Amino acid sequence: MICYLFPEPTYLLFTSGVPALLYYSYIPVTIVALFVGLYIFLADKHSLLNRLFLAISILFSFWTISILIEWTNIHSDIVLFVWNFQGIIFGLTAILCIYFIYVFLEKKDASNKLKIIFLTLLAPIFILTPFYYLRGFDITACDAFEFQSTFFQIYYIALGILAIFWVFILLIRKYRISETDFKKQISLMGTGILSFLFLFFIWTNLTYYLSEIGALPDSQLEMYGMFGILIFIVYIGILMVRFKTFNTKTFGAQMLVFALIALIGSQFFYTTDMPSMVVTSITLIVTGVIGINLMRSVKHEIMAKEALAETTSLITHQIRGVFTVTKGGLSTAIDGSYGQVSSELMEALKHMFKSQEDGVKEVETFLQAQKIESGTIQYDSKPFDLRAIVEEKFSDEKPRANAKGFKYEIQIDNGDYTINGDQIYLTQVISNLIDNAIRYTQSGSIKVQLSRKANSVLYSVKDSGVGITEEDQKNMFEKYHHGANSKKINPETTGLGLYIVKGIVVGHGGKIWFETEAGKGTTFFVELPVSGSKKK
Amino acid sequence: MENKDTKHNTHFFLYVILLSLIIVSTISCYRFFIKHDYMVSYNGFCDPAVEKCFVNYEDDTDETSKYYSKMEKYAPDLYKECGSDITNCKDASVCVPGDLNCSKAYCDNSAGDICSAPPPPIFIDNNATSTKK
Repeated sequence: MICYLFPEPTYLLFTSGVPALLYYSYIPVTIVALFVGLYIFLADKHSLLNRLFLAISILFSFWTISILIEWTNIHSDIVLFVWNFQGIIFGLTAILCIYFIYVFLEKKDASNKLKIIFLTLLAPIFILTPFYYLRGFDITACDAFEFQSTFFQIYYIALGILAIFWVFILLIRKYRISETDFKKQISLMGTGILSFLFLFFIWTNLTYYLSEIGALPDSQLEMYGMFGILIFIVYIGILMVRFKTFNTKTFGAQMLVFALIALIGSQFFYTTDMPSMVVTSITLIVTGVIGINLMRSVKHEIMAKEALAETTSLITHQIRGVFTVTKGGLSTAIDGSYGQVSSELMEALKHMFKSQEDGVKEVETFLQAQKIESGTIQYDSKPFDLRAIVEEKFSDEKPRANAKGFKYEIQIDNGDYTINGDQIYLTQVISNLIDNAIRYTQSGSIKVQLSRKANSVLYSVKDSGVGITEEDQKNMFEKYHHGANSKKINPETTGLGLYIVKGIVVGHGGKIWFETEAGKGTTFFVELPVSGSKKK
Repeated sequence: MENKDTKHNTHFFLYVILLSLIIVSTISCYRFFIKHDYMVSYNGFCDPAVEKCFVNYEDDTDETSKYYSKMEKYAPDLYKECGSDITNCKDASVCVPGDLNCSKAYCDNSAGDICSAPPPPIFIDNNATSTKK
């Protein structure tokens, strides 16, 4: 049936019968949402997070296009068919937003149980939509009527509200146990997705309802609901640039080029005279060509950096092999398997052995830092007694501490210190902090403490060293960072120790931080959850 | 990022959603494009001289569309009687025998509707009649 009082649209949705503002607002937002969704997906097709973001972008685009069709099309069959999917779009968006945030926070896919809950929540919408969502069409007003049964009205709005609360609770729970860097990411992502969900569900439905009961003159305010996706995209953009979320390496450069092209291209909408059109066209072409070259250069640079990192890793592995073989040979010579050697030669062999051992350690440190950076480190989590490890490492370092004349003490509160984690890596954390304290403290005292909290253990190492300068405090856990004070004492430091320690602690779902005062010393704290490693 | 063991489960979720979408799309396509299984409402013809009509005060250019009744018909019947366009289709403004679900509503002052004035009474002028005689 045709709405006989309205003009026929071109290409399903273009007609002079609606305000032009409708196209200027809906179409660019849809294009931006689709572009960013596709861009993120293509940056890393295998990432579930990226796929979910694409799915949300596509759903949002379907929503805007369907609203445009409902506003402009005059064929009842087409309008009803498109309108029919509104409930599904709302429901799926709500569920995918929860799924998206879960994957973002937990860095893993949802469990089967959770997916079954998602599908169960969606089932009523999928089952009832084709039969009960829409009853009829008014061809005079060109509008569906009785299109929302009470069930649908309540159900999909309830799903939206559920999504808001669910997402909020997930964000808060994770925020409380995360370290500073991830807290910032959670805040950004949370603001973006909650703004989107609020505007998409609450704003659109509330303004529509208020216009229906006559509290608002019309439902035009409903249109502002679509800007939620833009807020979401802006926050996603900040996350991509600042935190490399979504693994979009050339995002900054590409966005710059895209924005420039969009800006220049938009001039075509209000340029009417031929000379201006020619100038705009030439500017657009030149910007496009320069932009493509810029993106290629950035991409080449990133690829070159990645290739260098891979080559370095390969060479490091080879060097470790050589060190290990030589160390093995020297060890055999020292233990007398090749026969008796002179005391001078034995001394030289022992010196060489020590040197080889240090070399292996350096290479191992470098490889570990690379694994942490690339996220390929594997933790073998098993329950073990952290108290025994702390006591053992404290005792191991006692001779060094005594040699420097420190007051060297340990305090362990009563309680069970069995935690779930990778014993080898966590031993390294314990050992590294004591080693640093001894290494960088000239005189005074070192105190190692271990205490029990409700769901975690707190390990700390306090020294009476020179403290950390304000400038160094900002970059203390950065890769290759050499503190001004530490460099004076140990010029050969790799600058990887605390970077690795932080990587291991965070990999176990823990937190690391420090408190420092110039001239009085520094205390490093490590809080580890009893439940243990998040990454396997 | 995600555990590879759960890859198939992710696909399972995706397949269920895609399959559901395909089923809903197919049923909806059949319902709206082939069977036209829905009601259609519109402003039907109404003669204020003999019927109590709704009045559209905004439209003062076209006398025909100014007065109307409220029609509701089952879409397949309307397609059968008028095609896809009801303009210039007399059957659209009446319920014809065989219509599965059809209603025609007139204006009702008691329900708060603004209706056309009742048909004027027929005035008989006896003098004029006698003159003609």
